[in-house]
Amino acid sequence: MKKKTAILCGWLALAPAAFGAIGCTLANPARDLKALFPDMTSYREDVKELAKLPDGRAAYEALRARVGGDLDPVYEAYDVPYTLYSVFRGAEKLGYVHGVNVPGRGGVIQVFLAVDPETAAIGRMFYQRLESPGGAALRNPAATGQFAGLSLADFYKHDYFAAADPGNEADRVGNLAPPAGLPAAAQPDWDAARRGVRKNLILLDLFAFDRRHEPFFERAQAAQREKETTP
Amino acid sequence: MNLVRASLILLATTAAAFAADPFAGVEPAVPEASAVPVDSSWKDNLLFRKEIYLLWAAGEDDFEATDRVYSRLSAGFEIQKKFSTATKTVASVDYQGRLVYRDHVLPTAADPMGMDAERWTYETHNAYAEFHNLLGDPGRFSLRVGRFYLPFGLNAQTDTHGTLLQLSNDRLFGADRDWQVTAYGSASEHLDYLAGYVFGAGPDQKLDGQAGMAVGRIGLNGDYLYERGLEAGVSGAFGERVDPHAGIDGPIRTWRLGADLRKRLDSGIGPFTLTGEAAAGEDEEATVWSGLAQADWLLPSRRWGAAAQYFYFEREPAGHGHGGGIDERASATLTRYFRNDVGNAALHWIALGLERQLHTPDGGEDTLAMVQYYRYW
Repeated sequence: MKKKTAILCGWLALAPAAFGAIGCTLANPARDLKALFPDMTSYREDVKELAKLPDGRAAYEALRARVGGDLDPVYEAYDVPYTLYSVFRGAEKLGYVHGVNVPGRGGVIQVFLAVDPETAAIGRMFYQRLESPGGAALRNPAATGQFAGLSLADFYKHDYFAAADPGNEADRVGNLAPPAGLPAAAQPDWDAARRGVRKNLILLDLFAFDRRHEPFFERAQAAQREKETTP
Repeated sequence: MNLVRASLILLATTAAAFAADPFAGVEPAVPEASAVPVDSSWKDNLLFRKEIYLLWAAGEDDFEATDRVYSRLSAGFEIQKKFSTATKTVASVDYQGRLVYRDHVLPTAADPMGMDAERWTYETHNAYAEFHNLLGDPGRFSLRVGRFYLPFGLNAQTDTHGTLLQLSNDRLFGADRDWQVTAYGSASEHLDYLAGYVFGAGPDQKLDGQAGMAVGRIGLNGDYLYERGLEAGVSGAFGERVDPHAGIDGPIRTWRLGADLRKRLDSGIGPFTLTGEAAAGEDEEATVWSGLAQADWLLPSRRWGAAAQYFYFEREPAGHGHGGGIDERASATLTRYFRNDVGNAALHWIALGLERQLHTPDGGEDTLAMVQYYRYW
């Protein structure tokens, strides 16, 4: 398991800084993706930029609203490009892999997700760069494994449950537990990682899934309003 | 009446169901056919960036003698494009160039390309094509062809396009970039490799009968970088190159062996990074020694950073007519970032720098104060 986790965490950045100018890319996509999808025969990289969308500014504001707070002007600016990896076995699409940067207490946290192309649910969550005093605990497979099976719908549902019905068993995101042994100083990094997963899923919903989870966001908003106005 | 009763029951049931699970019945949206992008465009996977680099430096002694300040002003751009089939990204290209104006050039390590540059020059920094996963398992063998960083030491994985502090290769080889064909990939479970044939064209990008060099590095793979914040490798170079600053006309028989180490230490006040490079070798019969130590700190918000560097380079004394001597400098920078994207997609900063020339081959050691404005967007 340790070996596999290590593989997922990426190999040497042969020249990421010198030869790239994209926000969050895999250090060695060929091998990282092969480790995630052993049946892979090929992969395709697509650069995605909000600024190039016809309604890019609106999409950025929508991202801000769906993340549920301000976007960091250094880590999460409007003009940050993203790389969407599509993984294939022959002509069959096996999955998407996508990464985002989020600010942690000690620096950058790069959160990558491998998601199912049909259900849009998380298959694997892993970190690449992780500048945190709690890095070892955060990388623990017991912690990252909790995200498997979650989708963006679960995060939108969490908005409602957290505000109106804390502790509801249907709140799968609310049940995520911080890793065992996480230093108190690194607690903000756990929160940042969860936020990174959410942001990643929102962008995937935009880049790969044609905003299919919007009904859950709208329902969560409506349910929260309903709850607030119900005596 | 029954209809009214049925409606009330339905309403109550719906309300109860909503109270139990407000998301009951919500389904993912099915995209309209027109919403699915199918057309591809030449603009897909195309990145274009602009760059401005302004540097002013004043030497304590030089300013007293000349009342002049060194200025280096440039504007440039970078363009990147990936090429893919429906299921595979097969290649990419990158070009980065700058139009540079220099005045009253001082011999600072921050601008190694300025040593004997014309007042106006056009510099090509990157010009390469990359072909992905050509042989073996994915990640085993890719090829990069063109002009880019030498595959020696840490420079191949460090972006020093805009930074005041540079790594060792400028002084070890006369230039940190060269025209080359370099293969890269995984050498084993723990190691990655870079192996290239380099033209040895030097800072002037000149072919003067040199045979070129075989240059390569083997180092720890990204498991170590991302899990332990550790990079380490050994490098070698052997062959012929040209270098107008080495004091040797024509091709220079060259060999180098080097070791490098970089360790990131995470903390609540941001990452500290310690860097070391060491190399030894020969230019013809002249022995060469080089060492670099650097410490960097970056605030977690990525808005402030500081760095200090000590560099030592020695080529056997000038008695051999090989442009020998010692180049020893200590430098420090303080940077205020306005943009500092993790992947260098957007950069914007003002930096203050100080360079103390402890020993230079030509004498005339000075202390330089520098102000730099850099923007890449």
